[in-house]
Amino acid sequence: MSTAVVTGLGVVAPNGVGAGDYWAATLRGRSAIGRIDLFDVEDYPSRLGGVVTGFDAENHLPSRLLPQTDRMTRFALAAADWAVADADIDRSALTATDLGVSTASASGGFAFGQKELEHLCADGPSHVSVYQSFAWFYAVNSGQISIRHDMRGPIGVLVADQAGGLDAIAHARRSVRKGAPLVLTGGMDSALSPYGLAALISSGMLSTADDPRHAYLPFDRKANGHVPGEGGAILTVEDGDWARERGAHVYGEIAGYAATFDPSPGSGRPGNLRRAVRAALADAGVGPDEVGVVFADAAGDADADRAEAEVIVDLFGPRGVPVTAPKTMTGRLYSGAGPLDVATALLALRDKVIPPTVNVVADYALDLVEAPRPLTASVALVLARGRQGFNSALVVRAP
Amino acid sequence: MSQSVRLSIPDLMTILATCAGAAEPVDAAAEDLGEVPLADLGYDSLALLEASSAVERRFGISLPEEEVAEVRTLNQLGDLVNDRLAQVR
Repeated sequence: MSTAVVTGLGVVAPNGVGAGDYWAATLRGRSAIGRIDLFDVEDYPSRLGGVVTGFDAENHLPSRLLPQTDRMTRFALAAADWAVADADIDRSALTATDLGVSTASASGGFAFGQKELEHLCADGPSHVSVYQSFAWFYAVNSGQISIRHDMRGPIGVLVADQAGGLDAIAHARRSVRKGAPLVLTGGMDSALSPYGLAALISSGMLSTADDPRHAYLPFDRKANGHVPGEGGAILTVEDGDWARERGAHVYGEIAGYAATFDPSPGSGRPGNLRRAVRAALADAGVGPDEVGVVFADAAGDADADRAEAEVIVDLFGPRGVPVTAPKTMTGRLYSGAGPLDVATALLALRDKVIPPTVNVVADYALDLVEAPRPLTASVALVLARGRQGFNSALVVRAP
Repeated sequence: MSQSVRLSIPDLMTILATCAGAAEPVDAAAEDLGEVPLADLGYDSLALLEASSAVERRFGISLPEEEVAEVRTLNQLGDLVNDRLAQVR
């Protein structure tokens, strides 16, 4: 079976725009969590977020794309441009139908949707932008990337909250195995608008802390919820043979993947994250001893942290594998989190260094990486969970 | 009786730019711009719908969708809009 390899990275993260800036900030442990300043959050019970700064859409996108795009779509289009440039693709040997797009979305275009719903309620239907017809849909990032890069092969979107980003990358691998030479994949979310933040707060899972250093503490006894962030990553995934033939730079292989779903709440049966991890490792053909680092989902909720830690300890032993959560610097990025963790894992494998988790005093017999640490192994495991039972695990391997 | 409003090509370009972003630069003299296909200016059918909707709201006229759908150039859009404006005068 053909392999799927990553040849390009495009990152928009709260602590760095562009893969290089993000990676440098992450290795320095620079957190971007702070008071949300995109609108007045004074009256909200949760006021902290990981806001992307230093991203001027006008500098990255043509004028005509601005009236029709939500903030998260602008991030996705810029990141897709960078992923394409990074992969240094030669289009002359490819037709549009060779090229696919597979993204994940958790929220759609919340800010855009809110603005147009306000027009609808205040002034009536004739005041609603025609672009509302697609700008707030889950599928919009895949659609806009497809149009901008003339990619007309397998195009789709996956929606599974925070697990969806890994599912989208796995779907890209599936498309490659079915014959697509190249697929742009990943996820990008931003729900940091008044309506979006209210929706996130209704989950009951956001931290209400006001001190950025104590607001998102996964695996810490003081865990008190999570901080929402925005951004994510877009990756260029190619058929391994094709990439090798054209002499592409390869970050690594999407070596294994599995997704499971949890039993109904209250059923008394255990969750299925463990099965996802086991199946992903089996899919990659690697044993736990070959895994050099686990990028944890890191929910920041006591029950969810315990469940994840138990799975890791069960499979790898107490303090048996380095575990990290660079998302403690960005907040949880929903569909963007998995792809950003995959990009981070590939950079970690390239530079042989594990990026740190910040602010956390770890519990649960985990070997949590609190300062950059050498990485000697060539395999990394990325975990992601979505609300209401989604579990995904993805294995990347250095080239 | 008030003077009838007529929208010029620059007026329409301004409305389109506000609704759908700035036009693609084209190699055409200003007086020929009205004949350049909207597609060459980078405006698709949605951009045209968005702009016609803005014109309807601003001038209190109604532009039938099937007629808007036939528009391919700024001159055609101008003719459609100015005909309606003349009727409501």
